[in-house]
Amino acid sequence: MAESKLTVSQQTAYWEKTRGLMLVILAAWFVFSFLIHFWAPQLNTIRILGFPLGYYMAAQGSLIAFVLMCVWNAKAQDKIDHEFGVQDE
Amino acid sequence: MAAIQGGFLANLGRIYALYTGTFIGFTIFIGILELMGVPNRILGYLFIFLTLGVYALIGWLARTAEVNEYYVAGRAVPAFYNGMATGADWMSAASFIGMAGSLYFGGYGGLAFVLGWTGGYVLVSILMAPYLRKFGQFTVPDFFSARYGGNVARGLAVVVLITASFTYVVAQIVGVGIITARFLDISFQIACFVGLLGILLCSMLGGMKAVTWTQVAQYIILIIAYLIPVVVLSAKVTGIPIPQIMYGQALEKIEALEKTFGIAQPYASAFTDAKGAYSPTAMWNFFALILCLMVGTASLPHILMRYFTTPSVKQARDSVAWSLFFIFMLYFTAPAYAAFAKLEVYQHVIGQPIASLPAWVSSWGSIGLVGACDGANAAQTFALCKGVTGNGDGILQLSEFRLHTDAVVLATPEIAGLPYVISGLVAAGGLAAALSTADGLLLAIANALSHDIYYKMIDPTADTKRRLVISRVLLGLVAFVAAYVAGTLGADILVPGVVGLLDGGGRPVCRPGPRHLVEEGRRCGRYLGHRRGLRPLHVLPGHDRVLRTVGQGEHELDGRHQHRQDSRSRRRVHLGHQQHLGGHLRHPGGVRRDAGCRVGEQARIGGNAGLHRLDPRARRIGAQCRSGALIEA
Repeated sequence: MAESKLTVSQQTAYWEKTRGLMLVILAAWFVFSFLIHFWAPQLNTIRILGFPLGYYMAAQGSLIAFVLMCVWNAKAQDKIDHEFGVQDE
Repeated sequence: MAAIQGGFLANLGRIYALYTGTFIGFTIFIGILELMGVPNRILGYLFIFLTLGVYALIGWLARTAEVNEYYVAGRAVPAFYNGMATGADWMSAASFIGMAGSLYFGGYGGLAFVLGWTGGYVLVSILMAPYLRKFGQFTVPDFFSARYGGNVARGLAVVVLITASFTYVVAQIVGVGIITARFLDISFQIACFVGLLGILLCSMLGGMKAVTWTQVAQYIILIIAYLIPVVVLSAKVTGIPIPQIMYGQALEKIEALEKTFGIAQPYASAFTDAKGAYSPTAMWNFFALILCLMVGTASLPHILMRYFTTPSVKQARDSVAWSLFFIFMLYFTAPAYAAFAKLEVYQHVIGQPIASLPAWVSSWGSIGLVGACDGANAAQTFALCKGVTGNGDGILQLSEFRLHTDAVVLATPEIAGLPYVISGLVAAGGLAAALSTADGLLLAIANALSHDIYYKMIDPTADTKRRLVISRVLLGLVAFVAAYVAGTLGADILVPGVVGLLDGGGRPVCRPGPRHLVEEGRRCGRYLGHRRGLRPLHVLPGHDRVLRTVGQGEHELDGRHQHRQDSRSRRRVHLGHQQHLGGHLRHPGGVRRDAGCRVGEQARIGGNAGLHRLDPRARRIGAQCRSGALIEA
């Protein structure tokens, strides 16, 4: 692994950005894990392709969101890494 | 070896494409043999032995004398393939066979498992994997030791790792044992050791390197085996072979049929009790379960250690995304299995005359997975009908119908009108799922013992050769102990009536059905309990206290701490984990708050007349934990 050449203030900035991304994704995770299902009985009155929407969100919707969150995290964090020059060689 | 290695890694796509093509060709070949009249028993043997042979071959080809390769596969596993390996590692036989059944019975409530076991990977992605990989050592206890300094943290992590993984691997070996017992017609105890041999062949010579590439191969088999039956069934029922989209139609039809049967609690209804009314308790239980499962998923050692094997931190992150994608492929299909099975039952079984029930009812019923308990002597034909009295009117009412959780996946090929070769394929898929998980777990345990305990704590001067010898010896030893425990316990719990392979000749063929209900438990401060007397409930075994810290803000270079951000950024997160694989999940019942924490394990195999005996084993960790036994109605 390459030696980090960041100054202390750069490291702080890097960490701030990384943590910021982490918290944003955590918030999205919370929404799709818990918040949205809070209204499942109400959502169930809407139907898509035969699926009650509340059921659909728990069975597929949130899952798709989770996959996208992992992809988003990988890409966004990589961008931050490049910005600070700490990406893996 | 290095030349082969280089050649292998450079040609991964081609090699695995060839492998997949060969496997499909082999399946077609078996199908032709079936048409030619070769007995089903032989076909089954061919399937199982060929797949085991492939795994053993990979294990042999991946043999290594390098510590780096033995522990972290040389850090050469690209993200895409690591994702597949993690998917196979994660999905055990219970995900493969038990999950759809749990969803059949659990309806919306069962989706907590689907959510919990996938959402956890988001946590892995943002909180765990990149930091472990950045840290760059070999095992998770390594990380703990570096993060907290010293061998106390390391030792604690090892204890937790071994407790959780060992209980889980015993359950997997029981499953492998069941399948092997049926295929080879030998006793269950011996079958556990035979299955064990298969596991060791994959992992002993090549360690993580062998296990990784074998798991990729196993994922390919298990996903093909899982998708084919339900795709065909979807085409048969709705005309379109995309079950994950089309089962919405099945849900609509189920709802309509439920009204005619007078079922008060609709299948897809959220947070309802047995009478169909909204129940806040059900909702809080649902969320509690999801939380437990998610944090537990994110802290499984044998999964986390998979992220040490990628070439870089970026690839570790990418690999989590791929892992979840491959896991998603199965998990978003499982509810389709449940829905189509339920539709089949409601349309063609319930309310039908006993004489004209579909063939799959009698074929799976004779093995104890289905029960049409109308007549007075129904228990003679259907083992599952013991203790059930029907009204004898010649028509099967809903209350007279019994279904075993495993039947949902196992009977689907027959419901879809597929030939036996597909049933054999599903068996191979279930075996692949169980073996891959068992491999990963055993390796995690053996590596913790050899690397963390022996090399780091006992003899840091040991040379490579000695370290590898110790690793292999320990792997064999742990595997042997696990197989012994599995053979002893499993036999006690195992009740005859587990599905077996039957020869042709008019009798329908079935497949072995391993089910492992709760396979391990870790602390989440709660466990699910049974509140309402109506439904049997599933149980969680126990919990360990897992002290986890997510180290953030550190730039680890070459294993040395370079910088440390302010201490506020260190979070101590108590994570609990509960790997609950529902075999007989009817409905997540009430939640009882558990003041302490419990450690326990329960490997449950059931099969006869709905009897499910649990074997709770409690272990103590720390003064605050008390052992507990969990009860199932």
